[in-house]
Amino acid sequence: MNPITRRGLIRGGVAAVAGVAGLAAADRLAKRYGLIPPDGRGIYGPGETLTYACQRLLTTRTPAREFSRSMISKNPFANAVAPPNDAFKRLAAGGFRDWRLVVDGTVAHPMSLSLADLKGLGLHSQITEVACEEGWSYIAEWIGTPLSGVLREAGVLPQTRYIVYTSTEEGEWESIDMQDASDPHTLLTMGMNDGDLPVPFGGPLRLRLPRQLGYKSVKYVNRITATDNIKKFGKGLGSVDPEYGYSWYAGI
Amino acid sequence: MSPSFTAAFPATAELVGGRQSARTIHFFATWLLLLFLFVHVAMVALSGFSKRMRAMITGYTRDREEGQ
Repeated sequence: MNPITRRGLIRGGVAAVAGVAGLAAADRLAKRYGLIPPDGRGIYGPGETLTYACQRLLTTRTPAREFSRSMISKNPFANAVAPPNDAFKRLAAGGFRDWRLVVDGTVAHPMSLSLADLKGLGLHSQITEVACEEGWSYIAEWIGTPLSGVLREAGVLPQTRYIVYTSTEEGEWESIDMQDASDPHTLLTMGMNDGDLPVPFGGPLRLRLPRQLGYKSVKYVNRITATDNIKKFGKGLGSVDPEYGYSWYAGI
Repeated sequence: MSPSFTAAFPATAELVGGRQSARTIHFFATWLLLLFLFVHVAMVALSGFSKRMRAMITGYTRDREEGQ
């Protein structure tokens, strides 16, 4: 080992300053290009930011994986959900004719849409995979109308940065950035495998987001709120999941 | 496997036979790596733990019979 030299000290100092300056520059760039997720603070914040920023840079504008019809799972797994509340039971008894999807927030025309209204916006189908954080997965055909069409109808204002979506299940809400919201695969799903979407799979209305883990595909969606300030919702972490230690961005 | 990354690079998933077979391969690969680790730590312990640790950290060994 060489003793500490003046030259070595200077070299180390310059490297340290360059490192700190580089980090500061990276932080400013990330902020400017929207590469910091709502849960990008706290102990795990830097990790969340690194994942989100890398994935946004690497996987931008790549469509979700679609599968062939023969790969549709024979026995899809419906994850257990909380028992439906009374309001949900009443709506179910009426065949969900009175189900409404409220669209509000930073939109030009706040709306309240029935399932028939949603179907009237044009149905699309996709054969994509649900991949759960717990490890299980299945492939199904999903039929519905893209979220982007609903947002176009409502006239999303240009300052909008996130779309918050809420379930009829107590305390269940999520949000996505505008890139995911405008993805044609982000589907307000009403049908599954050529039938109506069954209640255990999120019927009558589930927001499917095939490029992220299953918990982002919230079941029983009844409200969509466009916003320019995600900090106003819940604890300001972008969804309820980061409050329990899950990632807001679940592209993983 | 990341649903977003495999969307961008589907070959990474197809190469290992899809998500579920990737998980199976990952499971056994993890055990093999752990087995490798335990066996090698055991070998260090059996051949004289402090002697081997000293050699690893300093790059030298003090034992004349080993140091040649």
